[in-house]
Amino acid sequence: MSSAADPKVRFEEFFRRRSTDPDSVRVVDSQLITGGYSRQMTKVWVEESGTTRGYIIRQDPPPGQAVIDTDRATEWEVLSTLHQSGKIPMPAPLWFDPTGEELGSPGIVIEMFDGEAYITATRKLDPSEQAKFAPRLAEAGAAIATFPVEEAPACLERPASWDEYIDARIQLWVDAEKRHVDRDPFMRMIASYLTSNRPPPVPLGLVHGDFQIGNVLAGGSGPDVLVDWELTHIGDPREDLGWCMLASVTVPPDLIGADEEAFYNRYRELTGLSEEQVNPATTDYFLLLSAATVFVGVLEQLASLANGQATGVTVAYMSPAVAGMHDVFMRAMKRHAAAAGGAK
Amino acid sequence: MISRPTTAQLIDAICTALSNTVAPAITDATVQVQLSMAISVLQTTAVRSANELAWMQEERDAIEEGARHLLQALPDATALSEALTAYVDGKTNSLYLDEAQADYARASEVLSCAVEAAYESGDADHIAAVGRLMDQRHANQQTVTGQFTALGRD
Repeated sequence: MSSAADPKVRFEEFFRRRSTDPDSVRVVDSQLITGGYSRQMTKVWVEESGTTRGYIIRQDPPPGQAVIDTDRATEWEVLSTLHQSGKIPMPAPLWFDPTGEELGSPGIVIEMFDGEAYITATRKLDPSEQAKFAPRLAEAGAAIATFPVEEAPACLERPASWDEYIDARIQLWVDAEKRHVDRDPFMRMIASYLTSNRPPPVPLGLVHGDFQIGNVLAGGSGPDVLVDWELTHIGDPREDLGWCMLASVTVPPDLIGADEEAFYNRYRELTGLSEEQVNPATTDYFLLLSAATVFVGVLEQLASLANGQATGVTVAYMSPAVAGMHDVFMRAMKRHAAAAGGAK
Repeated sequence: MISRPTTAQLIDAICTALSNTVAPAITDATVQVQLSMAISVLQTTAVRSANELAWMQEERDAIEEGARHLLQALPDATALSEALTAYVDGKTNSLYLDEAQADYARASEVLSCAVEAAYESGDADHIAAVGRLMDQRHANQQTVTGQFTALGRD
């Protein structure tokens, strides 16, 4: 661990060690980013040899403060592999401190991208103007879905088949509910619903895992870029659309709904998937399926709070968040059932 | 004990002070978000304190009745039958929160088993019946939380 308790001093030492002109290195500003429910993220501006560059530092927060726990080594391998492929627009991952000896906790340093997240860019717009972001969001989603799965990071588990994968994801709901400190019939209902209402399969592929408008940055003249890959895995690509729909309720606006036809047409065009495979009803199905990743992590943190092992306002805030997600689940099941002509 | 002002009124008073007096004095954006989250959690606890014992009782009664009806139609639903027996045998009807919560947890397991039995049967009427029990629970939660929007995400 660095002797410097002040993060700014610690960061400066970190960048100095990686500079060819260390005496010129100075951290001119740093800002903690709000809204990072999982990682602690800091924007840092560093002056080096008379030039100022921006970086994002993604670190593990103090123990018991994260909403979900993920692994920085896995994230680093995912970032490095995907960036080197050149197939997905994303900011360059630059350095990794696996132990936290230098940064204070395990962390990754990424180049700061000069662009606004869709969430910021679109909230300024009149709702009618948000529609133009729907096909752009589809293009970002399709870039992930069409990534060659054989080139995916080696650290990601390869499911044996689509059916086996879906079975395991459904079982995750049941197992997590049984492990939890409280009973949650919504989780068991989701598992039953998913079992009885499977959509047509598609080839397994790369899944971002937190595909939402806060994690797509508008690229200006270049392509839009994707950030925050800590939940990436191999699965059904439609999970990203489902998660995006869920996130759009708790983190509006809903850019898919802003021009649903344009979104789905563009996504199908780029992925080659059919209307039967990708439509609003399949998105509702995968909203339910994909939500387990974050929802179960949140429940485990709430359990830690209930058992006196965790504290923190962000963790406590997950209690109303769970109720909010239950609401989204119920609405998704009702929409899906209505589209299918009744629940079964 | 002091019952007026109620727990909910006390929490609401604190939330008002935090929103109107403390929040404007905070300049650090991350601390502002933490305070907003704290206020949000307090507001939900105020609603819960005023209603949760009654809601748990109402839901338990509806679940027990619904489970009995479902078992008449699906007598081979073993897990449901066992969960209902465990609920009935363990029921305390206590108004102390820990015991009331334990009663509610056992009733919730009955509801989960009823949902699973209904979906396994594939019968639309059974699915609709358990759906109504879930709607009751959902409505109570919504009264506590309202439309949830994640704070700090902008």
